[in-house]
Amino acid sequence: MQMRVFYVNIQDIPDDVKAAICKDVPRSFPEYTFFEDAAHRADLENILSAYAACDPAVGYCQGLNFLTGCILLYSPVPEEAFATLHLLLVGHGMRVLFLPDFKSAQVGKHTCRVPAGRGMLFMGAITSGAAHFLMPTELVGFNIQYCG
Amino acid sequence: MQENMQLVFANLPSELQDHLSMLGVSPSMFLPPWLITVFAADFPLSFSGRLLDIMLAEGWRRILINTAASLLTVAMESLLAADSMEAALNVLKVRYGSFNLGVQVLPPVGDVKQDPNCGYMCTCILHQSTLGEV
Repeated sequence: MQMRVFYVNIQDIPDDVKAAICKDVPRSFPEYTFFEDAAHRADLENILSAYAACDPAVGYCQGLNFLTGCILLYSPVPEEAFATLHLLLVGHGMRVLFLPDFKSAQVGKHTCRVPAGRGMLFMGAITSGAAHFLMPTELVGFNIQYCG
Repeated sequence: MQENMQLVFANLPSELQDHLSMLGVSPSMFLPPWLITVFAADFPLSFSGRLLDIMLAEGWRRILINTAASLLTVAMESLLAADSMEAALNVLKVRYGSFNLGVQVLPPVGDVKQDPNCGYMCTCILHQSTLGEV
């Protein structure tokens, strides 16, 4: 079974990426009571930051906030939501939709480079293969641990 | 992205393809937000949730592209009646733009039947399975 482990430092994300994420988080599903909770908005921000840090070529793209928000609503543990997002974008390769040939006036694109750092937000061990995230967690084909 | 948007159009009935290109409607006018958010910005979240489930199990490409093509095909009659680019885009906006409004409570996880729009959306998902391989 193939395992991947990530150590990402969200402190290393460039300011413009951080600003774009902070700007979009309050605009993600404001009509849902779930996102009225500041803790859930913080989770969304952390997941987007972690993804931007671990996939610098994509970084952050407007639209990712909705995709991630949807995943988070169904899978409210942020580590699992991150793993699901990562599985979909990297494992299944959906990240190509966010890469540079993507040109649209409405969509701002922010990329970043990640220098090596010591702080970690997420350490994820993701197995390749199918996962149904609407099913109970123990049936899902990945395992995630939180590192402080 | 460009390639995937072309695939959506290639999956449409040729009558609809011809009509949309005659009006000057290009895929980039409305498809990017649909595709990159897995429809979450404009459609009920239970719809996106179901799609995400299938995408995680089977890969994103086929289901995402065929669902987009299917949504357009379902609206074909109104789209064919549109006589300008604005009118065609307005058809999509009116038909699909309001699905996500007024939804306050997330249906229980896995319980997509609770969503009033879901039967319609599931029809679209089923319909995509009759379309070709991508």
